[in-house]
Amino acid sequence: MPDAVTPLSIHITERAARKVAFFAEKDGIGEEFGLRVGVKGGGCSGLTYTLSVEAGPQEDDRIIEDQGIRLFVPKKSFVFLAGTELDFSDGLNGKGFTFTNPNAKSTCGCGTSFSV
Amino acid sequence: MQPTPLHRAQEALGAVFTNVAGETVAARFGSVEAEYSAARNAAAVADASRTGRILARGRDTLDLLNRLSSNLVDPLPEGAGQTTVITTGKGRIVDWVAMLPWGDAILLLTAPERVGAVTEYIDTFTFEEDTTLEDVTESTAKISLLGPTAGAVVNQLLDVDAAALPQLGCSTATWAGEEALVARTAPAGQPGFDVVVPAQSAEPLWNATLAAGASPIGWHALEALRIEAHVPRWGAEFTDESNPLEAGLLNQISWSKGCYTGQEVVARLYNYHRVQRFPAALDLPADAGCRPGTVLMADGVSVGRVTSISPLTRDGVQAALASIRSGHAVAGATLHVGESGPAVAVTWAPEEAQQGVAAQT
Repeated sequence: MPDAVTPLSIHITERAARKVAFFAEKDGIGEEFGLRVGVKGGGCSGLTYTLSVEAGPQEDDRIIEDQGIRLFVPKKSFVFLAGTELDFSDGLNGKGFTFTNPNAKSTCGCGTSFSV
Repeated sequence: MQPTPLHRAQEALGAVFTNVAGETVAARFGSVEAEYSAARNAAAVADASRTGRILARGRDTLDLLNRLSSNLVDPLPEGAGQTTVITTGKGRIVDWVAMLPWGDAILLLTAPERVGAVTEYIDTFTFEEDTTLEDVTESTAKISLLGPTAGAVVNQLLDVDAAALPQLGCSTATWAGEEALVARTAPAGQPGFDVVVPAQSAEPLWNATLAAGASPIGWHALEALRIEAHVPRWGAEFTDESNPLEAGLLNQISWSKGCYTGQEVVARLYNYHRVQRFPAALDLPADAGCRPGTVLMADGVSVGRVTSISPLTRDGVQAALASIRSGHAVAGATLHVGESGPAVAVTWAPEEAQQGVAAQT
């Protein structure tokens, strides 16, 4: 786990934050936007990440602010994401948004699915 | 578990009951051979109410189950359901289920022992999805009609055109003023139908099927049919320690639908020929004293075990299913019952078991 990450929070890198802001502006989401980060069942290992830029939080979302970006985290997802760092990998071989999740016991080959 | 809503009606027919996985079920009503014959040549009716039934509602149900199971279930075929294997992240079986559309809901049919496990597993992976589950096992009953004339019985009693239903085709019907679900399924591996009705409507429907010419069939004849059709059963051919390939459920796996829980493990086992064991069928000498769990050997080494034995004996032989180590699950292979028992021939093994052989030679 990176030193800067608080175990009971979720951290976003500056590079990922810039990308989120870019998508929000491109899609005209509005100034109160945030990145909704969650998990859902599925993927090879049992759980897979969900990401979407939203105009505002939903009821019961936990709101975390980091790098000038608000993260909206659904309550049930938070326990699986606490301590996670969200980064963005660009370029031809880039993987897009990537997660370093200390709760993940195993991750599938493509890195988008994990088990706890 | 309470007796099924059809217990009393079966008792009235003189059913002899037995215990299956802790539950009381009708073993037979008379001659097992006659019940078997009715299912092969005419129409037989079985109380299948032990089967777990979960009603899943909500717009995300198909998407969720598509992510948690091996077959393509989103979308379902038009007017029909699908069978699929719910798998863990390690590729192990939670259960082999049928998903049958019933109005705006999906009825999940599970193994009798697995309704709780399936509900809990789906609940665990339900985050923000619009999906709710309701266990309707005790508030409903399931009647299976099987045999070549089962469709005529359905047509006679229910407002459904049985012939128009494709495999796993589903239709709502009315029985005694209540909504029923009719699905073309394969009870015990035979052509047939499942009818799900409210529990209080079950006995009149059961009696009506008898009046329409169906013969009651019990657990023993159903097991004989299932074993001959090579249909695996929870607790016998597979458990939560098995993967779908070991259970002979290759045809329940979609290789093109994309990720589902356990997909990576299942794909690796299949592509690298790493399946450790396969199902197989055997003809066992009836006097060999075999039972489920009996060890099967080749060249003095244990290579598998018997999983199910037909209650019917023909010419001194009982059909059986077994779980056999890869390389020995080959039609025509000879195995031995225990260290000093008789030789038995493997009469069937799935085609993919040959790949296991190829991988070892």
